[in-house]
Amino acid sequence: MSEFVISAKEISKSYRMGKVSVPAIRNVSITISQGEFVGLVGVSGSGKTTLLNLIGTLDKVDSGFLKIGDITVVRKCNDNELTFLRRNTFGFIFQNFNLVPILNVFENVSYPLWRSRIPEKTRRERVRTLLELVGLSGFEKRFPNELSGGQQQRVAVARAFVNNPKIVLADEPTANLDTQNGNAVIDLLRKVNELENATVLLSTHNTSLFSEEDRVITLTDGTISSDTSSRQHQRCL
Amino acid sequence: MNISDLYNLYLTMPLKNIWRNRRRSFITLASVIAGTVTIMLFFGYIKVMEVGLKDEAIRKEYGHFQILRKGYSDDDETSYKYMIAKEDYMKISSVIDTLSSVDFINYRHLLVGMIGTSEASAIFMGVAGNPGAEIFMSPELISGAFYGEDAGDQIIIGRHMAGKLNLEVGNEVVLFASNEDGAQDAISVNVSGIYRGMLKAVESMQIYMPLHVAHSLLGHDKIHRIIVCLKNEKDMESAIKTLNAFIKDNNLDLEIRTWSELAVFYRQIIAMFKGITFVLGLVIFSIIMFNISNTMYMVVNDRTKEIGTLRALGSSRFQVKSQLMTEGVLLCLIGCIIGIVITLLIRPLINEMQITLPPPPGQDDRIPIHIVIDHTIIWISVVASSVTGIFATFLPVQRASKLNIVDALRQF
Repeated sequence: MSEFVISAKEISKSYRMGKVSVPAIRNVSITISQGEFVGLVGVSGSGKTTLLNLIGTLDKVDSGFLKIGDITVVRKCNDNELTFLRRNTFGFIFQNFNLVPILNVFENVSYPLWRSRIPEKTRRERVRTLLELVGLSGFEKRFPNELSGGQQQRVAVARAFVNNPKIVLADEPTANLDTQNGNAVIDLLRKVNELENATVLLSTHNTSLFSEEDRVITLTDGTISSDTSSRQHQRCL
Repeated sequence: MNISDLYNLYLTMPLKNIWRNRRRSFITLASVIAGTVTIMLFFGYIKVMEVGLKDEAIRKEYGHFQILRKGYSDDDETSYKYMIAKEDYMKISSVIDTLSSVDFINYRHLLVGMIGTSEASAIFMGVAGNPGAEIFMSPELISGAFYGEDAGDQIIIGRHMAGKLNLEVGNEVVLFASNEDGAQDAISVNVSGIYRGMLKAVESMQIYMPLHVAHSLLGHDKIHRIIVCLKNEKDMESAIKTLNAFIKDNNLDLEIRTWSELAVFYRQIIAMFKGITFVLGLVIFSIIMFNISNTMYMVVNDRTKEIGTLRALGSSRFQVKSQLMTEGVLLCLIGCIIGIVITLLIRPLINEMQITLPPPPGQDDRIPIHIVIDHTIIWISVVASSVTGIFATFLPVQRASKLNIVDALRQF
């Protein structure tokens, strides 16, 4: 089986603020290999979330070339194609957890499988495995408002990995958590990354979350200012 | 995909969302319920009116069909020009008598003239017919008795005419009318009964008499129409077919017209009721539609971030649309079903209460409110609710499905 690679070449994205066009990402080129655990760091407004949104096909590039595995994502890709790609390729973890309040833990985790029309038996087994992995066995019937922030983010992690995604995009997943819970979530992401061999792309302000082996990409004003291992990154700072 | 999967895919989330926003859902449901109950009760009342008027038109006025001279016009129904000769109506009657589907037939003769006593006189519009059939077709008597088969020269008059001419049952009056040659004829008759009619104008002019009285007065034996009343309306087509074949074979100058062709007044009344019902239904369902539309706009606003999350997790635009649309249609259908149940429960109570409406212009009797709910009304309500739900949710759902995912995820 060939390696699943994310490849971006000189991608740019601007947003309109009234009559002014504000560039969020400028001519960014990166290549990320399958199974990598990549940190995306930078100050607020540096373009981390925009880059994640572009890679995750939540938004479209203005210019440049983006390839997810064998699929080339261009502006003219229609919504159904992008939906199919998201459903089968990506897992998302958001800063505010974004669990669906009317669904219990089991239903939240199984939602992507449900939408992919995976048979119920397979769905149950997969959700049970993931909940065990994130340490939430026995919490299946609980609703998001009955969980702590850390628990909610663990549910989000389970949901992100449930459909065996090739890529998991985590946008500041520890921002709303205390240090202990934040570290627990990162450990969990590492563990699942190893077990599932999914590429994890994690944006954060906190560089101490990364180990020496991790690849860390620093964004400054919408451009990549460094793309290196964590130790090199610390030295640069 | 099994039923459970279908339920999970298309109903679980809409039902949970309806339950999540219980208060808002309840207010929306209340408007759907109120609308459904109102429209069903009105439909049920109109249905009774329609059936009653139809029955009245057939039994009291037109029969299921009539046999007339070709060219006969209702505009000049007392004219002597288009009368059926005895020879012809006896011929066709012999065929009618062989039809087992026929309940009764009536030979009708209409005439105008003067009715008078030694003290007063008035114009009358005479309806002459077979006593055996007229007993079914004439209005309810408030005094006296209906003339029998072997009646002498007797008539029935309306209570307003009785009041105007100061007449009572048993009094003698004289009828004057012009015959075919234009000469005035007269006959002395007795009042055998006084009836109560629907309209004052009818009560003060219309009198009923046996056919032989009209024939004696005018000196001929012709009639204007043969009224045929069947035991069951479904036999009308075959009876008409048989009679038309006979008319054609015998080269008779006759034609057959059904009650619905003749009952212009009935058609106008029903068209008016249907128009009112349509407008009322349109107004009520428009109010429901705006209400649901408003609710769905609030739903989309409140759940923008959730919609963004679902889209990010792989829900297509169509899936978001179908989820929200199902929510709106479910609200309508749940409200409609509760409305139907409430209507079915309160209907007997309303009928039992014997509520009446004031009499319309020209009438004395109050109109009782009676309501019938049949499966047609129930189906109309269900379909109207579903369509309303679809229309009401269309624009909010379009808006939700077109949300930019990134913008939606940024919402608080």
